[in-house]
Amino acid sequence: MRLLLVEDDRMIAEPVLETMRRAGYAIDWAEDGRAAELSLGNGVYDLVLLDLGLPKKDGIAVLRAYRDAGGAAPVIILTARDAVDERVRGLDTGADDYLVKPFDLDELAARVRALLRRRTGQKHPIYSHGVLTLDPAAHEVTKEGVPVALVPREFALLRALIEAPTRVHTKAELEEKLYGWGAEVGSNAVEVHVHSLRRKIGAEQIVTLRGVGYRLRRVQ
Amino acid sequence: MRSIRRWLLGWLIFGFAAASALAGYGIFRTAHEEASELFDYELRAVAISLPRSLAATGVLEQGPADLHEISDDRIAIDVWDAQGRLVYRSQDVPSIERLAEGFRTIERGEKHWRVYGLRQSDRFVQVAQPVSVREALALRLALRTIWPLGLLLPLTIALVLIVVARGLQPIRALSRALSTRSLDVLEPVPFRGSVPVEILPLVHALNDLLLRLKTASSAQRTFVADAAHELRSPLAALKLQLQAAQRDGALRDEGPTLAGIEARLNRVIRLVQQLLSLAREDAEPAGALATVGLRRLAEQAVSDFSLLAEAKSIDLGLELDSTTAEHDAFQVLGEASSLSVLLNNLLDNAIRYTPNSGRVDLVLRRNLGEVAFDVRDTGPGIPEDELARVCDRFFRGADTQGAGSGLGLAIASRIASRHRAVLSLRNHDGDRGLTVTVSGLRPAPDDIRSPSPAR
Repeated sequence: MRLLLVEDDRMIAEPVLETMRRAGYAIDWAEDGRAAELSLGNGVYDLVLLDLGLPKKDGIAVLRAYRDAGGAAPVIILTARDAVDERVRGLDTGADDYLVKPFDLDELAARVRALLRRRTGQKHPIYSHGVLTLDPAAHEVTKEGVPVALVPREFALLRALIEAPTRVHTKAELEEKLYGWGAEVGSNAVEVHVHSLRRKIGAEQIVTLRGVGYRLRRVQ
Repeated sequence: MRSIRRWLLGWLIFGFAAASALAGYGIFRTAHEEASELFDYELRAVAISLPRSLAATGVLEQGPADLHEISDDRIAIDVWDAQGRLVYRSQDVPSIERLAEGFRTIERGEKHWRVYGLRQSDRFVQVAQPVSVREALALRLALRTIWPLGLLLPLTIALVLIVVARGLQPIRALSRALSTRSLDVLEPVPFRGSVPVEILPLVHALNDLLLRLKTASSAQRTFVADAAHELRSPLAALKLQLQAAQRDGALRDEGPTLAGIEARLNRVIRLVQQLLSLAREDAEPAGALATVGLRRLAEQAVSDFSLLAEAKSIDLGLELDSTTAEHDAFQVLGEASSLSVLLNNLLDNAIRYTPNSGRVDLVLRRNLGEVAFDVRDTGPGIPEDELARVCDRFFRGADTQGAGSGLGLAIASRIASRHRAVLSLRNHDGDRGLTVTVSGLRPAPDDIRSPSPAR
């Protein structure tokens, strides 16, 4: 995996570079917009971390030129500007994600992982969260290494939750995932499946957010 | 309240009426006097032209036929001969004794008479006429003179009404243009048609002021954006450096120190963010409000805080008021990003001050055609004497602990007021806890699920 960091501030760039290298990625660094264009023109990158306020050439312009030239790698924008229209402009121009400084290195690493996984999504990685693992290809779920037998709806439910374990999934989203669009669903169908899933993997594994939805429990 | 229109109308109409009355009185008096003079002349003419035969005939009872027309004016005639004997007296009049020569006014039988005596060679003629008859005639004459004045008055009033209304029209148009616009809109005052020179300086001054305000406000926005960038970058660098050092393991022995530094750093970062957020809300004009799904924002806000709530074992939830439909999206007129900041600030406060294993609810409600929401917690509440001041900037209560910036509620109340909503705080009666209510959000016009506003 080869990444490119475009960032003019050395104090920010260095810890990011170090963390990413430590995490096993090869990462290059471009200090301004012009250098970024050169790197993007020559190298093949799997992901780009892009600061917007760059000397010589603005980050948005770099991104637009890259996308116009057919560059397809996911781009995460890192910026200290948080005006909403700026965020929208970045995403409209073809960014995949957005982080406002100051951000957490863990958060950055998680987003990078998520985007790279999405890019290689066909290979069906094995998801794991805390004591749970889910293997979509083998249709297998384990808790603390012990296989747990789930019916297809429960499996689909857990898969939806474990794909984005820190996100809250609303009832409507889960219904859609379980039944597809427009299907007639009983008003408490999701609750029924959550209930039976909890019985099999432990009630504490799924957190209910009253009035909103569900997510997996927090992992330290 | 003073009104230019009322002032103008009052002074013009009453002033003109008073002037007309004065002029009318003057004309009336003049006409009246002239009529009197005419009548005196007539009286004298009658006396002089009385036929000489009148004395000679000695007719006492019956005057000659040609004198009848004179009696139309009710002229009484007495004729005495040289010896002082009464030789003629016209009918139906009270007797008037012989007076001296010339004009005088006398009173006889509750009536005033105008009398003229004339000594001729062989007789003394005295003619008299009731003043009332003269007055009536004089009045008729005088009135005939002043009627155009009476017609002039209503015409003038109508003219004044029209002219004042037309004259003040530009001012009315200007104040209407000003009153129908939102206070936060800094666009120049639109003024259709030609502006009169009298209020042109006013419009210019106003537009100039608005322009300067707009420039200042956009300068502040630019400053806030720049400040955000300049403040965030070093903070971000510092935080990343610190995290890298922690992962590094090189400073393993300094764990507690690093954790302390990180906590303080996070507090500085939060303070900077809150300051920027407040500055941005201050600089932002009301702008165009769009239709925003408040329920969606509320779900997002509750989701964002779910990890934090779980860490403190706080039961966090989104509730709908029992009277609302299950799929009500709570569409309101607002600005999505500001409303999110508002919800986040209130939830952040609630979770921050609620002890472990407490409960925090975000409750969406509809109330008399408006949309409102509550954030209810089971925290310690706020001392009653501080409730009025907690929305002040940098206010921190006497017993406040924790890493609050003292800006969260100030930001929240600023956002609420930009949405023309009201933020209020209330301690729970009996049990512990605080409810923060934002009420008066306007439902979006195309929100079909909203009940029609109560009238």
